[in-house]
Amino acid sequence: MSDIRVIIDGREVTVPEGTTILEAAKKANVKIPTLCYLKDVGLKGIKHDIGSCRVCVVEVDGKPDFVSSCNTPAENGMVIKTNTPKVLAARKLNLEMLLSDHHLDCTTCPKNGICELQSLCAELNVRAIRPQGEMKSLPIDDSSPSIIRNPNKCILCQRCITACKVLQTVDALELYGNGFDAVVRPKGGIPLIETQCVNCGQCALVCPTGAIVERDDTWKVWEAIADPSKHVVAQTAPSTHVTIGEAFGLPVGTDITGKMVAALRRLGFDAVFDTNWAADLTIMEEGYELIHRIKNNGVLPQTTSCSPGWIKFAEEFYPDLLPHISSCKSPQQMFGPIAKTFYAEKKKINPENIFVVSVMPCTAKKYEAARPEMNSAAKYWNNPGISRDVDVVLTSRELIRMIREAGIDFANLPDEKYDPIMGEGTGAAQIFGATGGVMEAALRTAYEVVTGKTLPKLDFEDIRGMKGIKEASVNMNGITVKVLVAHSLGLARQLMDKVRAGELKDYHFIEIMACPGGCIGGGGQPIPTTVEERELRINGIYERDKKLPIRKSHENPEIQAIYKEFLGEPLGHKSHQLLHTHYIPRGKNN
Amino acid sequence: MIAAVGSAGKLFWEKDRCMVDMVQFFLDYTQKNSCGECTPCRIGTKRMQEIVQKVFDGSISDSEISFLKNLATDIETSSRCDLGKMAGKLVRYTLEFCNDDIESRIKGSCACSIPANMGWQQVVMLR
Ligand code: SF4
Ligand code: SF4
Ligand code: SF4
Ligand code: FES
Repeated sequence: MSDIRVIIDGREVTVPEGTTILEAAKKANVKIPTLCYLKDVGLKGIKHDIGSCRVCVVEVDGKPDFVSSCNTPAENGMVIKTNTPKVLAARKLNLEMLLSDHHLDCTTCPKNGICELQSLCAELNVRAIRPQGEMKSLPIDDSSPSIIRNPNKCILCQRCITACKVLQTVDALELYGNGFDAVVRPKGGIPLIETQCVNCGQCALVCPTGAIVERDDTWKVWEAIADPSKHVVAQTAPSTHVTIGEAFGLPVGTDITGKMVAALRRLGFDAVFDTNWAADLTIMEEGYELIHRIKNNGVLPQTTSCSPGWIKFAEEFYPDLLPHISSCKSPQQMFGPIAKTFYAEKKKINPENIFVVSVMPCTAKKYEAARPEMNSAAKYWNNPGISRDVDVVLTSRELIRMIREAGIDFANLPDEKYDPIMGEGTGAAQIFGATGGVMEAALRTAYEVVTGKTLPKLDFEDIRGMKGIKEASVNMNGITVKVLVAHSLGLARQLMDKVRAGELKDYHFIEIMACPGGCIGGGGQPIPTTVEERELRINGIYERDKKLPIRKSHENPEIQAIYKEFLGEPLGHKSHQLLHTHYIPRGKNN
Repeated sequence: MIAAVGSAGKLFWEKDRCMVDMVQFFLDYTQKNSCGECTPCRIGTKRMQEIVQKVFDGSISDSEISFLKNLATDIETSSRCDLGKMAGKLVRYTLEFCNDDIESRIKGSCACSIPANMGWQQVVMLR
């Protein structure tokens, strides 16, 4: 491709053909404001540039009208002006038009402080809303356990539609209607819960306003903490160890594990545990399940089951392939029943009084915890007085809000350690937070269990990072175990179509994470979550893995202890009772 | 008879209907047919409709008329496609060339009796 030259605000720049005016301006150090545009919707190569908001307009010599810089390619010799009074006035007026149909209750809006519409108004010096008139007034959709939609705050940028349709291929959202009456809504105008939405929250991550947000469950936690009869325990997901700090001014990817433990104690939790511990437990069960399937001609390839968005996706779109999914619960759901059985017994606490709060990267975890079958502790004790295995799921964003609410100076907290019994986690568990991590952790354990030898190199670089579908193989006692890793449901769909067609018969294990980059890019993580943020957080995950004294799940002393004292052996009777689950065919034809 | 060439064809109009009617009709058409995606067309033409309604009420102020011109110019130059652009252009031209129609409407004296302003012929000539 040849280079072209353009003049932007009097300065000449050379860019490759096909470069948009926006990117060319960036090269000339000229910032053009944008609102609807997204250079990536979580994965490189999936961008959103429909040019709907008209905030990025510029003047081009010889053209009577403005052009939107975000989706207009620069042409050789173009003379572009980005900040004439005419341009500035147009941007402002276009923004005011959006505001004239926007319920501006910023002070009580869930997006207050991280809203792109709000910050753009500051940037463009909006001081009044001149156009005035009718405003839409539509009901709030709070049908979903994970996502709340307030269409009155929607600016119809359609970023959510691209995330749902192109990135995730779920296609639960649509633009409907004409003119002023146009809305973005769940397909068919039904409540979100009735659609095929998998609760992944990628729409909430990209929404520039308060129109799609996570359900806020923080008050339930404040109430539980205040209840003296309740023993409130926290578990913190691997990915949160490197993301919570962002909200408190620490560099993206900083390891804040010790500070998060300290903060949770200051919030009033009775015990603070690590989902990493449960991730190590998951590896034991899932690794042994894989070995069992390979040895006994079980259904292969086996796919992972840690990502609840992926599970619902499979139930909706691949109900015929459910036997491929590992029967292991996710770490969150392994932690819950163990807290209400093993831990309760050891600490002599009535399991009816144990209240389990998860800190998760994920909006779909709220949905997962609410699944009816996730009440194994009550079944185990045959006591309906015991509440669900996991009582409340907080996303990273909600915990951040609680820390702020309590006035905790997070960045200056001392590092504290997790409580014992369910607090020790290995490097293998830590990498669950990034795409490829579950697979790598499983291989570290499976290799040593199967061969009885020490793995020469722990790091499986091939399956790490933001690349597309990733692949690796390792030789275990003469069997070449072949594995695949997909992140984002669009890539998962590509793999599952091949499984369905019988093309992946010689593969053994597939890791799927619903969110691009894995949990570090989960729908509940701090906003913004761009590709760059995801990459920095992934680096943070592997740095922490390297730092940890134990890096293989089966070497975790607390895991060895629970098998010795309580579970017996992986895939044993108690494991099946508490740690394994089943799936439900859903979808249009079920 | 007057014809305006837009994105979707020609609009034929009886000679003795006034331009304010024409504008209201066209804005209504735009709202009904706008894909709703871009801001100026979706919201801007709605706002213009609301202001033009005030011409009929006779309640419009001078500052509203001048803001209407602002809006029209912006919608004409910022809309993503020709539908919005056309709506903006139509309102701008009406404000520039058909002031008689507007004034009589504001005074309430126009009951579709004023012949279309000849200014409209200039409209089709321009651009
Ligand atoms: S979405 Fe943004 S601009 Fe709208 S009320 Fe919320 S914070 Fe304010
Ligand atoms: S949560 Fe995920 S599946 Fe549901 S609407 Fe949003 S992007 Fe689509
Ligand atoms: S819900 Fe959010 S992302 Fe979706 S169109 Fe509305 S403002 Fe944009
Ligand atoms: S950012 Fe270019 S039109 Fe919205």
